[in-house]
Amino acid sequence: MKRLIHTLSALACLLATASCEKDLTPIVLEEPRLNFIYYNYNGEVTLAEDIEENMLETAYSFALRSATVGEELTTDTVWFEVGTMGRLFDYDRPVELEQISTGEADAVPGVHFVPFDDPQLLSKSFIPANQNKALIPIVVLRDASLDDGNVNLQFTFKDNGYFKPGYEAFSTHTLVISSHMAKPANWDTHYGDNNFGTYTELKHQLMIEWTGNSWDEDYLDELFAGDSNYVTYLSQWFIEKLEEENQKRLDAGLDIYREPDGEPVSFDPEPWY
Amino acid sequence: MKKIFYPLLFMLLSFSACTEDDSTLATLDVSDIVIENLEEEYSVRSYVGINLKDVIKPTVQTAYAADDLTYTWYLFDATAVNIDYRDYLISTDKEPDYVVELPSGDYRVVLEVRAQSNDFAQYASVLLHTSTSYSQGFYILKETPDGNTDLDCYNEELLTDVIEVGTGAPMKGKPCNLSILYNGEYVDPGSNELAVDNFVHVTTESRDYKGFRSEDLTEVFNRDNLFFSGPMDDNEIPYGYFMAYFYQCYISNTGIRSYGATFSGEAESTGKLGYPSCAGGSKFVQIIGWTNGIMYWSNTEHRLMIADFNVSSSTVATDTSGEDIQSDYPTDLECLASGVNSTGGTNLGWFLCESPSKGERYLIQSNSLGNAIERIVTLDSSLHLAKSDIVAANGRTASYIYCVDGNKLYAYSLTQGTELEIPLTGIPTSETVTFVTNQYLGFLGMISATYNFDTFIVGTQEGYNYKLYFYEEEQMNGGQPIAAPGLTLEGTGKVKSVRYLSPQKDITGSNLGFEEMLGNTNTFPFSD
Repeated sequence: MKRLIHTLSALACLLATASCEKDLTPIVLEEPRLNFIYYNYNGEVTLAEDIEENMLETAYSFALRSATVGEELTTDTVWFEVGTMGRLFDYDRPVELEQISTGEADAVPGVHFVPFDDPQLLSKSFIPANQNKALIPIVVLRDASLDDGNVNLQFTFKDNGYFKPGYEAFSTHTLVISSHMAKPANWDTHYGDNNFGTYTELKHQLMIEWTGNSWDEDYLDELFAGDSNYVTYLSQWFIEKLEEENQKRLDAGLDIYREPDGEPVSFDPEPWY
Repeated sequence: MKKIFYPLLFMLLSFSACTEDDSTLATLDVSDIVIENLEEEYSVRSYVGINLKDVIKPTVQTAYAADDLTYTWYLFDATAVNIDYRDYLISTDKEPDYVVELPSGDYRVVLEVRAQSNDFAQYASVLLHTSTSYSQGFYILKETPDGNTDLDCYNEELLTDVIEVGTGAPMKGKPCNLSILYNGEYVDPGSNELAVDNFVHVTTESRDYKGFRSEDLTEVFNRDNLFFSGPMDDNEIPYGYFMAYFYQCYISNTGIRSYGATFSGEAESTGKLGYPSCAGGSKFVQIIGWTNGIMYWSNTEHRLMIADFNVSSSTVATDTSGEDIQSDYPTDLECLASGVNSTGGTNLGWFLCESPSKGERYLIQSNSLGNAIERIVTLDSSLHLAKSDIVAANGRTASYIYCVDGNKLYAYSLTQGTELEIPLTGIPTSETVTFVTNQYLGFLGMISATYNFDTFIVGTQEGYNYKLYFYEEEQMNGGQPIAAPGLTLEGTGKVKSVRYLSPQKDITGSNLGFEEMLGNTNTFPFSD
């Protein structure tokens, strides 16, 4: 009994000084994944619940880009920002895209874009060591078939052993490739019709010619982030410029500017309501 | 049981802890510290070497020994939120040894007086209004002896020829108009960022135009850069600026051009202008009711016009029944003067016109809403108002139009249609009166009333030397001087116009709209 008491006493002393500790299991994401990164108007990364349809599609126009850079382009590179899920690695990790067939005017590898498995292209497609995002290139090609209509290049991330596709909403994107003018993806979000009238390719071409500005997505973002009074001014300026140019054409014995359907070109803004 | 008592007692003791009361009763007396002799508000000019210790002179009453006390002064933007004032220390001297070199604005100055022996402290704070030499005061538009245009500026001292000083030359041609625009937006030439400042806009009869930001009188706008479309056409005749509810407006012979006024106080516009709206214009603009539209005289239409409050279109002003009452009058009318009178709870806008062909003068009076003509009075040729070339409005103290005829001042009663002579107390009769104006700020509180004032100014001229006599409120009664003027300024040039510029940042179109909701329009004069 005495020994038991001593033992209990010793145990009590030990218990009084004891504390608990348990090793935590580190969070390990076994499968690094990739997502496309989109930004909202404030320049913040868009969350899944805030994603908008127009973000999932990019329009590429050889005509628009050529007008912007001032030379006739037959090939060009479009860059897409992608971000990783999972931990960082201390080595470069390749990224490979793969085409998704839409069954509707699908772009043809080698004809409308450089195939995604092209070694030279792949050498530029990687997440740098210790980084969680990068710009991934797609090289578009100006094929004569584009004159007959746009083509769609829908793509996602290929499971290449380094990455799998990430969230569904962020892992598929469509690039619409055209040789003629294309309505910038943010034309509608900036209410282009309410400022410059209904979008047409001919008007787009004239806007570039008359102002010397690119009128692509970047330009529109910059324009509409600036002085709204300037947008109002431009709206009226295009109307007056059209009148002036139409008069010049009439004086030269030409018809006024008309859309392909014969309707006169108009910069009259669409009503707001 | 006894045998396990001690182990259990030991276990209980092992959970115990010791505390010891090391505290002692207070042994130091806590005396009070009383900070006195402070005003609630102070106003100082920046960048002229003024030291706060010469302005703010508190006294401290306390039983603590002088060498036991520390003094710490802090100064920070009074409009700032979520700040720790201790981050803004300016002085640890008994007096705030701090030379004021601050942008115009409102600042809070905090004094902390602390007893080192027991850490007891008391605090006091005051509001400090700062202005620069140019951001506040009376601007005097004048014709220089060589027939050009310059400004003098009075803010405790008279700064002369400030346009020539700032830009190297006076503006070309005789003066046309001086207009003050609060919260004008522009691109700061220093930072290339959008910015907001109060503006002084000057136009001349030779169609010259310059817009100066008031902080340092830097020229921001001129004929070359005001329009998006490039330099103004030669036929553009700038008249001035005015503030509408939603818009900041420039008026010229081609109409009214505007940009959306900032509501937040943050700059959103470059201040550049696009296409004009409305028909013609002049320097005569009056807004009687902010939401009822803008009454302005069109030199091209020779008519009183009303622009909608969005400044998007204009129509010839009609009477309250919609009748084109102006069609009964000559088509060659020229406007000579205009103003708004707000007395007895009634607002009344007026435009004094003359028909060169008929030699008659007409007084067009608006209704109290400012959206129609109440009546047009053909002035009897015997009236001084029918002959005078020096005409000015009384804004808020009497229903008068002032005019000078035969070197005497008269008041035409807007309600009676009669005139009375007003003696000019304190002005030698040997001087020739060439100018009168009533300048005022009259805010009710939606816009700070700190700078409110009402001054009647009489100018006399001898050649190209002017004197301006300022009758302040205490020297006036019912729109008439009753004592000698409180201030006299003397300068060189022929005075064309005087306008007061307040350093306030809260005079926005929206706040003016809120003032109107309190029944307070006509808060400062646009044109005369």
